[in-house]
Amino acid sequence: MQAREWIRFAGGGEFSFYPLIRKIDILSSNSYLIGSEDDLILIDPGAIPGQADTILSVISDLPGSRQLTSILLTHTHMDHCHSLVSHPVLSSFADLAYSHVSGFEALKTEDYGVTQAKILGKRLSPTLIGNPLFTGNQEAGRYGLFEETIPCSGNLEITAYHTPGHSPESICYRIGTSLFIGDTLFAGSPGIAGIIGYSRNDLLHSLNGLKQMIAGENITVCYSGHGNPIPAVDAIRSIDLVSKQVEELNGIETQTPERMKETALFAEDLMAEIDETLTIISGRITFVSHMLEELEEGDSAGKISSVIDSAAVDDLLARYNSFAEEYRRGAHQHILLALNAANIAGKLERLIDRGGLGAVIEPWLLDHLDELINDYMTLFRGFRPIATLKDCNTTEICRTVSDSLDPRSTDQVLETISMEDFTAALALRMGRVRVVNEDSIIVCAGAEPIAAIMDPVRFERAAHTLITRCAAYGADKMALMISKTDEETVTITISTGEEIFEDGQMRYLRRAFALSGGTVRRIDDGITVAYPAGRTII
Amino acid sequence: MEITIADSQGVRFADVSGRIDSKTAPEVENILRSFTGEQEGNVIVNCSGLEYISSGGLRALLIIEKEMKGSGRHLILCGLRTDVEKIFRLTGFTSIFTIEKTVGDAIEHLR
Repeated sequence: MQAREWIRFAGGGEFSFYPLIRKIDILSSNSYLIGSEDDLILIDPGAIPGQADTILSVISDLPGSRQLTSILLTHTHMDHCHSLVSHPVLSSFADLAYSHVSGFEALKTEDYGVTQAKILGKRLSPTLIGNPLFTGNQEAGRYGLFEETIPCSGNLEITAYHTPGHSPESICYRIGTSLFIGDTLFAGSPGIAGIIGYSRNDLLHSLNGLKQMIAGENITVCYSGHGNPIPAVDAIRSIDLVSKQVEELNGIETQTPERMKETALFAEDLMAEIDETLTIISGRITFVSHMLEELEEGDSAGKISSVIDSAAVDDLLARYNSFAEEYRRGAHQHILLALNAANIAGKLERLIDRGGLGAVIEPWLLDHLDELINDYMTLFRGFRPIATLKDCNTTEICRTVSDSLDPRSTDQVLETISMEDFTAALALRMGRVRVVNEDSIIVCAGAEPIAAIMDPVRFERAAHTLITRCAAYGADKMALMISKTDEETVTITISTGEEIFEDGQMRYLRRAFALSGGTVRRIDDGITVAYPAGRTII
Repeated sequence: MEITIADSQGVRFADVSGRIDSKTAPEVENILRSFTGEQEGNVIVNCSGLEYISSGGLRALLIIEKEMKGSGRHLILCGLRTDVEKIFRLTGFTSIFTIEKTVGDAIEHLR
């Protein structure tokens, strides 16, 4: 989450506003706090304990012992409200919460389907929302949407609009000229359209009503459940696009086979990479723990081996592999593999304690694992993994990759003073298993830096993975070669000196390099990635 | 996963094939323990049919190696497929085990 602060609310009135906007992922939604003199409203508590802690901390920092007066749920998918179900403090505010009556029922009866708890791997417990909305026989308002006013003590005026389609209990909340739209704009995406509770006809009706309402109520900004605020003019364009997507999904209540097949293939390649990465991480923990035992550092060995529940990780991977094997024999549909992979990836993600593992495992390997899980969850949820493209100095980036893999890179073992620090530094050193030999990587570039437009972080991780694995296969003469083929194109060739076979890992690596913003071409002993030439050198 | 054990001309072999994961690692550990605990001497583990090893599989082999090491004996691994050997290298386990290319190399090592 980005650092945030109270700002003036854009929707009118003398209200203060505290948006907690996260990167787009499946783990948790954005949250929004809105304060007036008398009211303090939370829209969507999200699903991450740290996010809930931040919300509570922001509230406790307010002068005058302010307390939440209402929690508004845009819908009851677990990424938007798991903290209301599970957070030790926020769950005690369920009586302040508002949701559509069908969401009230879903949380009360622990409906793992409608809440997406099963897909997201979240545990439910019966939760009683205090204020179910749309319980009577309302008539649709002038935009064709059912409306209900949320009672507030002071001068806040909140109108709830029932906008089913993404889920039966979806609601948009209007405060002045601001509109909180939940997942409306994601409702037509592959992996989203077709989830339990989705209704194409309801969604088209809701989108049409929303479009009219945005114009009729002079809405200026829409706050989405995921991602940044959207100016109303762009929101209308997005609604048109979603409507078009949804219309094209005519007759499909589940996912299209093509989309699910693509997701399943992606799942297979990414899960194989996740499997190998976690085996390396768990194996290194076992290795370091063993070495410390050999050095009669039993206490430290015990602490190191407890930073990951290797048995649980292994068990989840075995369950996935067993299911994937059945899938390859034709026993399961693509969607089931995609769901299974999402379920397992979510559980694996929760078993990874970066803080503890960071005492032994190199940061790039943990970042690589995060990226794998996040990319899969992003695709599964219906988005495309995003590249953050910028002008980069390719020579500097390639040298960073080469230097970080050099076994001579410095460590702190000899610089430590206390025995405890020494043992910790030793564990870190042992965990950084070096497979690349000294001087086995060269960077070939001209004297002048060459700029390219690329995602440097994605490139570095993909290059790390390719070079490290090739070194583990025995390659010891590798090169990173940079050239400007013409005014428009810069190529980086990673040559490993050994023939590389096309397999699941190479499919993964091709995608990984493509996601760094390049066009990928295989060569016999490596890979060539072409990027648009950059304009400046940073 | 399949594991077969044999004594041939005074050399003791275990042939492991298939997958060693969380389901099969305990079985591998138990069979190897009963085999390695019976008699004196090193044991050659032929991994040429081993397709996959998880961290649980690595741990199972490590436990047996540590048990044998107490009496000055070792497991000698051989015939690792490139993708399995890659895991041994990337986890540091190549520095724990004696690893030979072929069964012949492993026998030679014993002499």
